[in-house]
Amino acid sequence: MRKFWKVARHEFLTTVTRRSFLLALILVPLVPALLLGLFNLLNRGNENNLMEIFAREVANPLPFGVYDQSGLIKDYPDWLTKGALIEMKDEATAREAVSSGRLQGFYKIDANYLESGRVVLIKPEISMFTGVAQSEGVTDLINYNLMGSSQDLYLRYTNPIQFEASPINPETADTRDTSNMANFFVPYAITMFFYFIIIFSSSMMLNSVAKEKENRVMEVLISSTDPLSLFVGKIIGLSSVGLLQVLVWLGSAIGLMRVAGKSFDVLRGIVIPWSSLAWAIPIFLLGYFIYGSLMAGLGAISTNLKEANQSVFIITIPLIFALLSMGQLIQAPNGTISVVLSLVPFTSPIAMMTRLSIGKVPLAQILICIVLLAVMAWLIVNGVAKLFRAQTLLTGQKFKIGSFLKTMFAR
Amino acid sequence: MPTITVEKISKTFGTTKAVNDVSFEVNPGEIFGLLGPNGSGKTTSIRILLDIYKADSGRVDILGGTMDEEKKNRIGYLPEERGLYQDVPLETCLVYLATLKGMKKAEIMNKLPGYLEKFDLAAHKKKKVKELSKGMQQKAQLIATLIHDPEVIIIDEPFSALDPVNTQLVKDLLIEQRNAGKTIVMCTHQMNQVEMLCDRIVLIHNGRVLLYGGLQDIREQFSTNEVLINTGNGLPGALPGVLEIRDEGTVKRLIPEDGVTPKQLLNSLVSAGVDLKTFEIATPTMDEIFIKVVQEDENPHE
Repeated sequence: MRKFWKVARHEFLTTVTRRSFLLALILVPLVPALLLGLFNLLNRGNENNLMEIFAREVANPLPFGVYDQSGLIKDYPDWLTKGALIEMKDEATAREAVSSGRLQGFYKIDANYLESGRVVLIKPEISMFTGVAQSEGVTDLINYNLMGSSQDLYLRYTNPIQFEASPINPETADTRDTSNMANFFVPYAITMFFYFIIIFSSSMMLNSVAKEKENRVMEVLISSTDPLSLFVGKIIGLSSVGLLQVLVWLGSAIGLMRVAGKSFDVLRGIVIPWSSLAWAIPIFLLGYFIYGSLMAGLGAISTNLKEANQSVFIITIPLIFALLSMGQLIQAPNGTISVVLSLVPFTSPIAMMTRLSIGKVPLAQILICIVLLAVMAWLIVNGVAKLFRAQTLLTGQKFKIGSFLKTMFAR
Repeated sequence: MPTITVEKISKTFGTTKAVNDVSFEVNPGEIFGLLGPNGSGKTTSIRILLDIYKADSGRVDILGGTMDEEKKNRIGYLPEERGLYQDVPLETCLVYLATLKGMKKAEIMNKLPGYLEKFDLAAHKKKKVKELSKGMQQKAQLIATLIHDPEVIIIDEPFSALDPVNTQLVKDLLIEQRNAGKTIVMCTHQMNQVEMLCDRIVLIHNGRVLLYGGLQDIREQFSTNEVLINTGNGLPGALPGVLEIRDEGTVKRLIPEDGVTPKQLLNSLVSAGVDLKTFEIATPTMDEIFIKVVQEDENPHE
């Protein structure tokens, strides 16, 4: 068993010095960082931030006219129209203003408006989206005047309730700023991140074992060290690689969020509960031990990498199930299904991380999750160690989940 | 005291008895040939010897006791199924394999350049293994087998994929190792190499030992009183004591009647006035012995 450190060191160094790995490790955070730097460069010297510049570029600066035949519109307050709507005394004046390019177009409010609700937009170009896109301003103006030009009444109408949700159990409260829509995407991003990282790291284990069989180097290895040292060394070496990847990518994500917030309003208010995500390290490692070991077992019994890859889906079904349950996990992070998925060791590496990214999860549940993961990881590592026998490693067979589990858990 | 003692080992896979009651000893400073046709149980015997497989019964003593992790560092093994990490540079691959044999990095970096030079691989050390030819990979694997200066060298088909120049290089290397007192177990199908290199052999067929002993003893055991001659003139139609004369190209084989010795044949030839250029007792080649023994084992009643 003393040689497992040598195996671990070799696995770590050969993987992290591989060009494809280094490119992925560096480029994944570097590309968004470069894009961000480019945007910042373009934005330099502008008083407004980049998003506002984009918005301003898209907006047409010309106002619309309003020709009111009904006599309903008494008031055109600046705080409401912001200069985008101008009163027109008659239709001819309005048409002339449009023709001379002082107006985009004008609204003609029907004389019988209160009965018919009819408003006609007259402008040079009419598209199928015109009504949807350009009726908002005049609607606000009509609503305001319908309310007797009362600013207070109008503002209450447009914002009738100041909603507050108060959780019965503050410990499990959603800590995100719900006023920022970007926060809704954070759990999705974190779930995908952990799904990808566990699959990626475990696949390295499968590749490592299957390639040693395929390259026929396995016999030399097990004549130099025992199969268990080989297995333990691979687990330690490649889990360190996965951990390095998690730390680099998560660290880059934190840095990028901070920098990006200065340029993008949409990112400024994003709340990521980093303190909760500290649990990610033990949960990722234990999840890796489970899936990495299963992949190693698959590599050990398969004849070559191609055959092994064909059976990967069977092993990753629980993770895929957790991923497909992401909607349920995000909608009801403390519901029964979410709690069960975040405690069952095969789905918890993803499900618990999703819940932690949404809000506080009761400490007891986190601890139960980690204990169950640790017990399952121990059982799987021991089970797969049984597959790491010379006879299995030097031969190959078709993967059958039944015989695979039978061998793993045989006494 | 033998370096390796294999005592009545047996191993069954499913319903196939791969090794059946095999025993042999290998002594220090000898090249021992482990011979047999494909599927005869040679590789399984070697794997049991190296503790890769556990024998169902029997016992193996190596370097003064049963195998342990420390002893694995004192053994060099070149398996029949060659293999190296294909996607890593040659030097990295050899350093890792040497590390697993207990060598320190500094020691490896001190010895490796010499080996790479000797095997004409120094210029290729930074290349990925998959970029090397089959012969180069074979030589690289020999380096991995020998770099840690093992006391026991177990080597399966060492000459496969090697050109004549490199075959000679490996032969010289094996002789050098034997002269240095190393114990060498060599599996090969090339009987001419066995005749040139091996001191003793064991021949296994269907998992059982058919022949075991010194090479010269075995050849004598299988020798008949037949002689090979080369003459300056022709041979008379009949010679006293000669049952049959076979033309074998440059030489003629004289098959004697029962009980007639080579010495009596020589007297007959001289008496008949034959102009003898060469006279040689026809000791069977290892190829002939191998074929004869294996065929007899397969068809014992023929």
